[in-house]
Amino acid sequence: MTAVPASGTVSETGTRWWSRRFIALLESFGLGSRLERGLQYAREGHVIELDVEPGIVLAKVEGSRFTPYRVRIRPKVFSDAQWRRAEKVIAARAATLARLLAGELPDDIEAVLADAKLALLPTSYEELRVSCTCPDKANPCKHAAAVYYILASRFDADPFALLTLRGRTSEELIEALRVRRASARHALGAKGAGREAIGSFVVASGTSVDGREPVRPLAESLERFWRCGEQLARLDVTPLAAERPDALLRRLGPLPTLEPQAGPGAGAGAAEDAVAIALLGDAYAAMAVAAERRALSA
Amino acid sequence: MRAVVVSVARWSELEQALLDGGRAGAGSAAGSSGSRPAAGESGSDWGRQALPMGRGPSGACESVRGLRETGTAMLAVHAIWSREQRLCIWAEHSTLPARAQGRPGRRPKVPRPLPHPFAAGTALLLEAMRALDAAGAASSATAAATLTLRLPSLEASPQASPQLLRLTDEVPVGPLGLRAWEVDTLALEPAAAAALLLSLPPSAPSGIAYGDSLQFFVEAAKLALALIAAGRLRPALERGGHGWRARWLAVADGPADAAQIDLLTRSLPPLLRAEVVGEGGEAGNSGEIDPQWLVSGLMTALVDALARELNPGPAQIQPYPHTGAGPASVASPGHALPETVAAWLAALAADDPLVVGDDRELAALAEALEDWWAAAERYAAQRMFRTCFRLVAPDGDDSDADEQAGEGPSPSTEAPQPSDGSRAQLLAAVDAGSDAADAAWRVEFLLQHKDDPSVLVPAAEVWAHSDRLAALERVLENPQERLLGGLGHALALWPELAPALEEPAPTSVSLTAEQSYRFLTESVPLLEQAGFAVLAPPWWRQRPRARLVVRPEGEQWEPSEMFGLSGLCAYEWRVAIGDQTLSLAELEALAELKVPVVKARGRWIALTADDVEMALRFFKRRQAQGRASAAELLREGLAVGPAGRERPEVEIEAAGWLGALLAEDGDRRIEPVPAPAGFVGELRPYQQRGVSWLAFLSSLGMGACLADDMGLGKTVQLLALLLAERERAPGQGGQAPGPTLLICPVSVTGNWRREAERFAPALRVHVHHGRERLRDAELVGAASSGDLLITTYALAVRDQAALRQVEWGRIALDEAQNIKTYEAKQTRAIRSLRARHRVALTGTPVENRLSELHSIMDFLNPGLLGSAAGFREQFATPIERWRDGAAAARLRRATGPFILRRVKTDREIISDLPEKIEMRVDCHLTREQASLYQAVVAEMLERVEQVSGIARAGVILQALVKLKQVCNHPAHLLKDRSRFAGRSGKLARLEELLDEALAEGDKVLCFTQFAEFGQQLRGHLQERLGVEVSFLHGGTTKAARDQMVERFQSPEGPSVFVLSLKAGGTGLNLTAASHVIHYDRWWNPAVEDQATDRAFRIGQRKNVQVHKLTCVGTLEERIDLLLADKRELAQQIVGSSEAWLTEMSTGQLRQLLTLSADAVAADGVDGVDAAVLAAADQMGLAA
Repeated sequence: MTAVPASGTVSETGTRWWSRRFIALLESFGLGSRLERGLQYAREGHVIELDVEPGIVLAKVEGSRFTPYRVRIRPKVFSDAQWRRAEKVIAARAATLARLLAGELPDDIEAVLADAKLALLPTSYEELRVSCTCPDKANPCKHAAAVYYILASRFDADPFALLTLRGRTSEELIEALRVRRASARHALGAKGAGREAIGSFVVASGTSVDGREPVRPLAESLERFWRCGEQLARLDVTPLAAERPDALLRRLGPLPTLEPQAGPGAGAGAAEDAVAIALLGDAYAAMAVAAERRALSA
Repeated sequence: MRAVVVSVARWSELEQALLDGGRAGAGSAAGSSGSRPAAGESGSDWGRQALPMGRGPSGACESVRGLRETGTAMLAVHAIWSREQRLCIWAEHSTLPARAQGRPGRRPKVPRPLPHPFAAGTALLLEAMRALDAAGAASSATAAATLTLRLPSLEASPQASPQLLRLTDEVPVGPLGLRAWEVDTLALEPAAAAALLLSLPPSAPSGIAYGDSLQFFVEAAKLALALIAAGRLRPALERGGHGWRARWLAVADGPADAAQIDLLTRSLPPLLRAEVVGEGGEAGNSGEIDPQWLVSGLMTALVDALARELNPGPAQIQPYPHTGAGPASVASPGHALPETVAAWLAALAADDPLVVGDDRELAALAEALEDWWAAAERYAAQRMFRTCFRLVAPDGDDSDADEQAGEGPSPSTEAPQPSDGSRAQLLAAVDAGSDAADAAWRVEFLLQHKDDPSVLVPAAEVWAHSDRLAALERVLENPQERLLGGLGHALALWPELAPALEEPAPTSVSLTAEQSYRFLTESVPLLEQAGFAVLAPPWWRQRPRARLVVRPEGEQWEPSEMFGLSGLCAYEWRVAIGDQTLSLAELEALAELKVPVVKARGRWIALTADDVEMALRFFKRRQAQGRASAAELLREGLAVGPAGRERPEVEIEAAGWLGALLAEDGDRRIEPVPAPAGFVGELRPYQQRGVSWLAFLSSLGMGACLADDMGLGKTVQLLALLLAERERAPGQGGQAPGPTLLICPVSVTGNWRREAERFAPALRVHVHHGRERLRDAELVGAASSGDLLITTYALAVRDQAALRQVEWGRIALDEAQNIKTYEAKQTRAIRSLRARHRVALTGTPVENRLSELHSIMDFLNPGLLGSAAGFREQFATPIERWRDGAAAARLRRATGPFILRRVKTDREIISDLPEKIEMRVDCHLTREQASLYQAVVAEMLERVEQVSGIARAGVILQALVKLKQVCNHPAHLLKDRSRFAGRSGKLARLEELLDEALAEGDKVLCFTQFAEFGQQLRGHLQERLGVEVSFLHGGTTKAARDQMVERFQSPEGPSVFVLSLKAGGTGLNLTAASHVIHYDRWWNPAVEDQATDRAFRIGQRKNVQVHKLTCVGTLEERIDLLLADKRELAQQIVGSSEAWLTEMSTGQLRQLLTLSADAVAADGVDGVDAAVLAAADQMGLAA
């Protein structure tokens, strides 16, 4: 995991349900007003670096001193045996990894892991094992609290980060799941992997469109220097407004900045509602209709 | 009887030409007249631009007006996308010197590139822009800019683009290399560029030729517009040079979009990569511009500019409009829309993308937007394969079912079944369908290759290959995660996928019929938009069509009934889906189903509820069955409604003679009308069919457009029709057919009269033309008591009050393209004339724009194609601009039955035709020509009296030459390099002939005996027609001559070849030509024939038409008559020279040369002035 852009521009906190759940969980540990000060700190951009590695979070937070304070969080990681149990339950259902790969934390992830007697999120504040180089003895100090909020926004973009905290990178997890799938197929005696592997590909046209032709230098393009070529007439576009002009918006999902933010008081797991779609959906529809009108009126 | 489903392809070649983007410059009359008002309107806007006058390389004062007046110059306009992300328009000028002059003054240390020697200066570019930017769309945001371009060059001369038509034929030869040149351009900001490109006239205005680069940019702008219509863009916030800017970015990552972008990139003309930046010129330019980079910058700029123009802005956006239904947790701080967000939303719709606000907050917003996109993009990025869903119907492979069914009798030809029976059958099918529904609808998961959609990898294969999958040299890394990630994304758009993902390695999901229907109607559009591939079965998305089944009652159509046929037909409305036909009852049964997916007669049918409802609405307004006249049913069945989305497509299926009419080869199926006895001469078989076809449509009262190629005898077919209906009428006891009003251009009135006298002497013909023409009651009387009244377009307008009082049996328009402008005064006047039947004769129903076809069809069958505006939206724009094949097919179907077009390249027509057709083409003098002519004659008659012998002969010969020159063109006599266009009736006629020939794709030889005039003619034609014209004269070198001949003979070479009679009369083989025009006459048939034979060779599989342009009422006509009447005598007295004329007495000379009254077209409204009038009318300037 790489560091956040260290420009002090991050002022947002997590908005997806799992990020809010993380914040809510911290709140439930009764940490009091320190969390609120942390949120303030995070909004003001004091967290200048955040690095998430398996089992450890390293962050730099600008404080009152010249050198930034270093915050370190070392949550409890799963043991190898625990990970094997986790892999087993995750591999059993395609949905879990599918959603993770799609940037979503499956909403039933905790239940799934519970089957393996595991918890994704810390069950107590102590489990987080946080330290900060600031003189403030309170735990969490406002620096650590600020890091929690920035961490939550990291979870937004990459739900795998939650699992990384438990000791595995996404790559390691994906590879382990792949191996597990392969052996399951062998165990089940699934129909021979290699036998019809290539043969059953449906290929209608044999034309290879592989690879872009290298661009000829200008000096070697003098023959058709002025010409488009015949193929331009094959350009086939329709200006008709799409049935669902806002489909791309829907694919993008909620825009964090516009969504209700996680902060003290934000309910965990509240239904996500894409304000972005409400705000921009009309514009998309209007643009599509206007484009069609423009295309057919000229 | 065999029913025939309408599918008419009679003018498919026409449509093809349109879809191919039209033939360049095929008749640019509309373009030139269209550009003039535009220049006038937008002139003031341009005038306001405080632009520095460009460096004119020639040093001369330039203007497009100046260009036009000399009548020989033109511009080839090109465009470049500069590195500053602006569209830079530049142009080559045809008459500027080809070679560069050195820069005056001291040689600079670092050699600067020279100015491009024949690039147009800024002032001229602005003039050109006025013509191109008719709507004034780009009149703001234009600036002059000088670019340095690397162009293919010889030593001191840049290569001219293929679009530049130069007047010299000396093509510089030598090895080409790249050399940098300074070029003046007009730079347009993206918004102005998009506006210009989307409103560019489809055919270039007069004096301008489009370079390919310009067409490239038009396609790019269309693609940008289409991306916005499809919603394929995303909002972003970027830090620019001067702050934060709100941007719309194109998202063209779907396979279809990517393919289009790729196509665009591959089509990029190398010219676009020619820009050199920096002062160093060639030396400083080592890097090559990458086409992909260029296209990406171009598309980004165009999409952004268009989107912010089309975006209505945040005025319509309510902050948190969903608060009522939304989460209760929308509490502070997120409750009110943050200021920065509001500013960003506003800037997304503003001309100025700048967003002002707190820098930190904006940076955070920008980052959030990028994360937002990255999260979605993670799945999409770099995927060569994408997740694909394939719906499979319960009984397995649907395509197999299709094939089997295809072998049986086509459902559309089955006799209609009693509706009760079908209903029972259908409902049985529905039951069967619902049984199957519970069984096993299935959506399979696959991976599909992004560039080659035929490469599909089933999920089972994916699960079998853990880390790498290779197929046909395409390697996919991590296929399982690719598939899983896709399924994960799809889950958000299609929740019913979830049960399948409970398995560890899912390959498909099972659905009920209802779920499948929901999948197809609700999820598929979302999935496709999100970049997933969906393979829906072939029967999906077939919209119901309304089919009018018509059966003429009783016996066959009898040609003897051709006049006054009431033709009652039984009809029934049916619903057509794919190739299935349902009755209304069956549709209603379908509508009652909750899920309208059923299997009927072995085929699946799926309709959306909206479609069913729309179809039912349509039918409720109509009687399901009944009887009506054939004409009425044709109108209903072929009409195109005002709105294609609110009503189903209508098609007509007719049996018997009506079906014959609607068939593609309708003219062959119609019962032939016997050849009229009164016709002198013989109708060729295809002409006979044409007459029958006209008679048939006439009997229905439906207007007909006879659009045969030039030279196939449209005139005689109409004359034969008139005879036929008159010969038949008495026998039927009916009343005699009313008179026919024939409206034609002035130039052919004489021809019509002569042809009528020759082929149909029984007809009572009156020519309404000239100063002494009949007025009011006299006119009405003469018209009513005759068979054929011939008049001109101008007089049809001027005397419309009187003409309206006649009960016309028919109005026929010759050269019907004269009413191509729907709104023109002339068109409106002619449309308002009433007649029982209407006919249009034209070789070119569409010269430039499809709207011309609408105007002609609306005259023939009012309302059939809807309003002009509706037509533009439904047909003209989709077909012309967007190459919409479906719209073209619809138009063809609607107009096909009323257009009969035979081309002379048709094998069968060829065998019907003689190999060589000679015709005299009559022209009229303009007033200017007439007064010059009279002056020359008067002067000669005076001088001839004063001299004798050789001197007398000299005076006469000199005068003959002068008279020929006058007939050719006033400028030819005066040699004053004055304006060329619009001053010669002969030239106007030549232009008409060439327009027609070029529209038909023919090549033409044009002979003149005057070399210097040939040069002028060539220059004028090149500008007027916008195509290259070759010119061969005595001074042409052998090498150049051979090159010209070779180029003319090749299909890609120039289509018009002007030759001086002396240089081109012998020794050349120019068999590519199918027309030979003798612009001026040589009074020796042998000389003319010899020239004609350049194009004509015995045994050649092509027909040659020879047109001899002859000015009516002048010596040209007199001598022509003399030669024709007394051919033998003529051969005796006419030697190889024209010396015999010098031996005439003064009295004979006077008789031969004096101008007769009909030389000038009546009222000064001749072909030329009529064109000017029409243009003035278009501009709304006519009184």
